[in-house]
Amino acid sequence: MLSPASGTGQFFTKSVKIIRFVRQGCTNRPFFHIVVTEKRRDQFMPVIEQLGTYDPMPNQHNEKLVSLNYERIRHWIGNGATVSQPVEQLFGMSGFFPIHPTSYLAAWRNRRVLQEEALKEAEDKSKDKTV
Amino acid sequence: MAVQLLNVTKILQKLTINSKCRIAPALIKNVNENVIHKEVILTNSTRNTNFFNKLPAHDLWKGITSVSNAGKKRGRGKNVSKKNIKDLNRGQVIGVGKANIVWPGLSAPIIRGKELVTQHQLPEDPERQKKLIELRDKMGTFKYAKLSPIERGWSGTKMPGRSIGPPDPIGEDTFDGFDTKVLELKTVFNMKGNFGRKRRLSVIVVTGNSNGMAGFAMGKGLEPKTALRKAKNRSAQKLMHIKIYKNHTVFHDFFTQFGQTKIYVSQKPEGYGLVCHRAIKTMCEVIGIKNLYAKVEGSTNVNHIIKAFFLGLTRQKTHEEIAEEKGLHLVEICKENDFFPTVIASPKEVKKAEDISKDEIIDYHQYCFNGKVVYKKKRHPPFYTKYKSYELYLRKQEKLRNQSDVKKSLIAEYGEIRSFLADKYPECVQYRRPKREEPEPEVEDE
Amino acid sequence: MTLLRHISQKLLINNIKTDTRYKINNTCVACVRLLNYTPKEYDTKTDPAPLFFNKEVQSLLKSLTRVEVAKVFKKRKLGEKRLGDPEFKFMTQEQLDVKLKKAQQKAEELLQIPPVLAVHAQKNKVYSQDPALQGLESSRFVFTDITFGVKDLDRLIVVRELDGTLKDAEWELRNRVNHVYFPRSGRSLKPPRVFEDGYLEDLLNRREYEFVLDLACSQFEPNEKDYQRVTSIVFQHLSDNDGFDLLRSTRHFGGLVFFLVWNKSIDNLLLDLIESSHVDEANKLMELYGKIHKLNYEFDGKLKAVRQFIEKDSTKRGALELAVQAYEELQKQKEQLESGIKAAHGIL
Repeated sequence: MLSPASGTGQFFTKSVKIIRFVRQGCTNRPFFHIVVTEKRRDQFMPVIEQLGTYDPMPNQHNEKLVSLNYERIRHWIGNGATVSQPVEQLFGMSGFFPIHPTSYLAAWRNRRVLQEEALKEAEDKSKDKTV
Repeated sequence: MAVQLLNVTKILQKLTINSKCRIAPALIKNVNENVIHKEVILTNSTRNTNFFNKLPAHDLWKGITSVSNAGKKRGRGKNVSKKNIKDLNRGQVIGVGKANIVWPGLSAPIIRGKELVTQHQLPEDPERQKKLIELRDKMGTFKYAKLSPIERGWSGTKMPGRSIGPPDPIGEDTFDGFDTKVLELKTVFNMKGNFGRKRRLSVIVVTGNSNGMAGFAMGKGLEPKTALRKAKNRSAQKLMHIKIYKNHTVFHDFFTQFGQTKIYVSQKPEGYGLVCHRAIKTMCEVIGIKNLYAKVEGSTNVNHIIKAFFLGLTRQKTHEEIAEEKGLHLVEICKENDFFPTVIASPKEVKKAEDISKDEIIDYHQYCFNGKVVYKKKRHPPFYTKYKSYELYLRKQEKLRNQSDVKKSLIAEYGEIRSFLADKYPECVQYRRPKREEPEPEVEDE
Repeated sequence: MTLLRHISQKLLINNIKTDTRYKINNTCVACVRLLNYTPKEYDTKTDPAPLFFNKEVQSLLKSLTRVEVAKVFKKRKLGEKRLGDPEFKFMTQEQLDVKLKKAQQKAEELLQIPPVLAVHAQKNKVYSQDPALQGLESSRFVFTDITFGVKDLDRLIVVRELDGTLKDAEWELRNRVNHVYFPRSGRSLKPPRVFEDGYLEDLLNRREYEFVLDLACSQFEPNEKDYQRVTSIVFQHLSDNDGFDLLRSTRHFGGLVFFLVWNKSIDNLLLDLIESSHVDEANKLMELYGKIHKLNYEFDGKLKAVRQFIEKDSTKRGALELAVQAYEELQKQKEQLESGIKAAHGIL
């Protein structure tokens, strides 16, 4: 009864296509399909084709699982499909694309926050000692 | 007019006085003591004979339990029977009554030890009355003994399907290990020249040792007991040997017919059970067949079913006979041993492919059913599968397609059905109704 | 004769006890011990694969399996509620022969020995290192290529570590992820608990060797550490408890023989063969032993090679010698009986 991964959506050959996430799963349990669809379409409309999955919740081994059908992704990119930014970031992580600049930015920001926290803690400790 | 009225009032006054003295003499004392002494007749107006003590008990009971012949014909009095008659004297002893009085010489010895027993009243015994009432209530309500589901027949407390034990021994020959089961019990009538309609019971039973020896017979008698006994012992005289394949099923599929009763019997693997008409099932239990499928076409007269089935069973061939008759190997192919061809029986000389004539039946199934084909009804899909709503329902159920497997694996892993958020939020657990707390027994302080 | 056999058995049991103790004392501490057996793996240093796939070795292993078609196609429970209806057919001799031939071919297919391979080496190719990605994520990313038509073994599965390194996934992770996206029937995401210590011990004591080995075959790959751990323990237990008959005519017997020969512990098997008077098979076993350990035995159709083995390489000399003696006595008695019968019949 579910639509096949090859997709059921109708599309125009010359319309703008995009590789993007579609949120599946349920409340409090996100799960994403990586699909190619027409850019103007809503995310819950029938898609042209599913290209992979992304599970943003780490499993019990602390891993986030991503599956990508590289052959079809290459095909659609070759046909002029654009890639949405979150998917671009993911592709960057997988080594399929160069790392997305926002990933570097986010990493840098996270590191800075951590550093500041570490500094604060060290200061607190030294204060405690002096007191 | 006025005179008349006066008279009436006078009469009424007299009457009231009379009635008063009969009912409550204590009241009358205040009224007029002299009057009572003068009018002696007023004190005794009781009658000691009435309907209930004029007739003996059995006549009284007859009055309510019997129905006239004419009434019976019209179907009256079906619910009253002689079983409802109660003996109200039961449990009563002369000399023992409601007032618990000791009567020396009647309910007690005159001399006890060295002392003379005097008549005296004991405190009332409430137990006696209760017991009497209980005895009375028990009478007249007859209940059949409850049978265990194994002993029960096909339907309710009826005899068909019930076991009546092994046949009676003949001389020194006993029927050890035999069991008899009733297949039919019905009343039959016969017209006599001078007697009219004569009613008897006709019984068909089947007896067997559940190891391939069985026989069936009909017996008639006025009473069920005699009819059953006759049939049982007659069936023991008509035993026949029946071949059972691997001690659990028939040797091969077969078709059998008696009158308009046609039976298609199929061999089945172990664990299948008896899937057939109840009469055939009962016969199989007695014969010792454990797995079989049978379809009855045409008349389902029990008498005919029995005869047809026994005919078919006795006409069975062994696999060697079949192979010899056909002149071909008989090969069993089974899913459980990976479709390996196991040769069951081989003829002395195997026919060659050229020797098999054109219209010879080669298909084993057709050969067994003698070219007959079982009528199989076409199964239609349920009506609701065509509805749009059913399609929608299926689509909504799609998300539950793995649910049972997931539940199983969760229980295997964690011992309970668990949310994926259980690690993060420990309160995410399956709801279990709390056990009702039993109130603690109060302990008194000493 | 029976007395001799009894003594030989006793000797054997004593030998086993001393042997196991000896083994345990020598094992490395890191090994997981179970049932007093140490798991033995095939190392990459001495790869057994070329020897195992050698045609002669394969044919020797096959002939030692002692194929009985009836046992290969014995009735099995298929996990269904009801047994299926058996199908009966009339067949001419030719038709039956064709069917039997097909069954024979099928039996050969079913009896293919699971390959004996060395435990695979860890994949650790690093694709890129990017320390600037440190702190981006708090968990690893596993990327799987689900392109159609790629084998499980060749599938590209890479991991982005927390320090920004992109590298190949380790084998354990590969198996898991492969099962997530391409599940195989008979395999589960977590290995069944049957393979855990307590449960495995129970199963082995119940002599369910074939069941455990079948399950291991469907759950693991032959070059996995877990597979070799389970099979080696089962083989050792089986050899010590004389369960060879349970594995004959199954696909696992070849693996068992190879394992025993490789680890130089064929004494129990040899004893079993001699006691059941399978001299040709004993000779074949010696041939295999010689081939794998590069030893030269002389074969004379009798027990010459076995005697040489007993003298040089056996660990249970007493028991084997007794068995050989008993066998020869039996042969002698048989000859005498035969000549006696012949004399009685007047044929000399």
